[in-house]
Amino acid sequence: MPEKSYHSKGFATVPLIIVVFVVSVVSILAISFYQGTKDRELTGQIDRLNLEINKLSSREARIRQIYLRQKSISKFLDTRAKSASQLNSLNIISDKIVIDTWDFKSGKMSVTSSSSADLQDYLQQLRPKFTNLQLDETTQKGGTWISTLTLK
Amino acid sequence: MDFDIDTQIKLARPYLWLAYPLLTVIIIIISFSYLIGNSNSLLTRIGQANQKIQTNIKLKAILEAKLGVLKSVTDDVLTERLKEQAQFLPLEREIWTAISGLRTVGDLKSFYNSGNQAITVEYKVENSLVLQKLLEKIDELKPLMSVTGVSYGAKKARLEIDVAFEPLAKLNPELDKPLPNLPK
Repeated sequence: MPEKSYHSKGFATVPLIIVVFVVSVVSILAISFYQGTKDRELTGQIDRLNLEINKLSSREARIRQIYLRQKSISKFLDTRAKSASQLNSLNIISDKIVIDTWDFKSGKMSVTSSSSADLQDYLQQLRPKFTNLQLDETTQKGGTWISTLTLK
Repeated sequence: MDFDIDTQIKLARPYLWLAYPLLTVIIIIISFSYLIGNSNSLLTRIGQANQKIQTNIKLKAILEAKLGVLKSVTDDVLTERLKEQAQFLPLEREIWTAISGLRTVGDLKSFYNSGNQAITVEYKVENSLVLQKLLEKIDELKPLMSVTGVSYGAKKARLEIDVAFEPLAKLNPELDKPLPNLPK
């Protein structure tokens, strides 16, 4: 009889659906419960840690202060004017040249030499360091050559 | 046509079994809309709770590391470090300390404090090599200084010097931020 077969089919499928449904619901609820427990546990641990850290807040402030000040020191050292190293690079080139005047800000300098060849050599060696080096004037007085330059 | 209840029941009886699966399906559909159906469903809340847990796990790791650092140093060591740094970078402009430092590195002839950032000093220097040594020594002085201007000529050098200083920074509490490494 068709009634009987539909009846038995329906009753065979429905419990299966119910079991799957119940298992899904129980799993979701279990995960939710686990999460609730884990969350409470973590919140408690974080609160305890914060409490301990708060007791040491002055120490934390000092560490942050030290860190910031060290950054400022490093920045000052990195960005400060390199006057010593520029003069070093001017001095090191030749001992046959005398630097008479030098202005770090404007880059103007004057040098003297006993020979034009030494002066020429000095200028050639300066050019790679100061690519737009400008030779303003060269004069000769007695046996001394004097050049004024602008370092750029 | 008369309505006979017995006849109706007899007619419906073959389909009565359908009520059970239909009812089950309806309950499941309604339940699923609560469990996964909308933005406030249990599954969405599980996702949000999971994110919160992950955030808290990271925060806990940060706080544990922070507490470790805080416990690894003493107040005395930190005070000493701050004092040491204050020699390089004082909390306020220490002109007189700077001047006495500048006196030690060369033949200081005069100084002028304009009240601005820079002080101007004049040294007697024999030649550019002596000036170079002088500038190198100034670079090593405490408090830190920057020689921003040099006018050299006629065995004199006029220097414009910036003296470093910085007041203590105002720090806001940053509970959830990791502590920076203590500089060596």
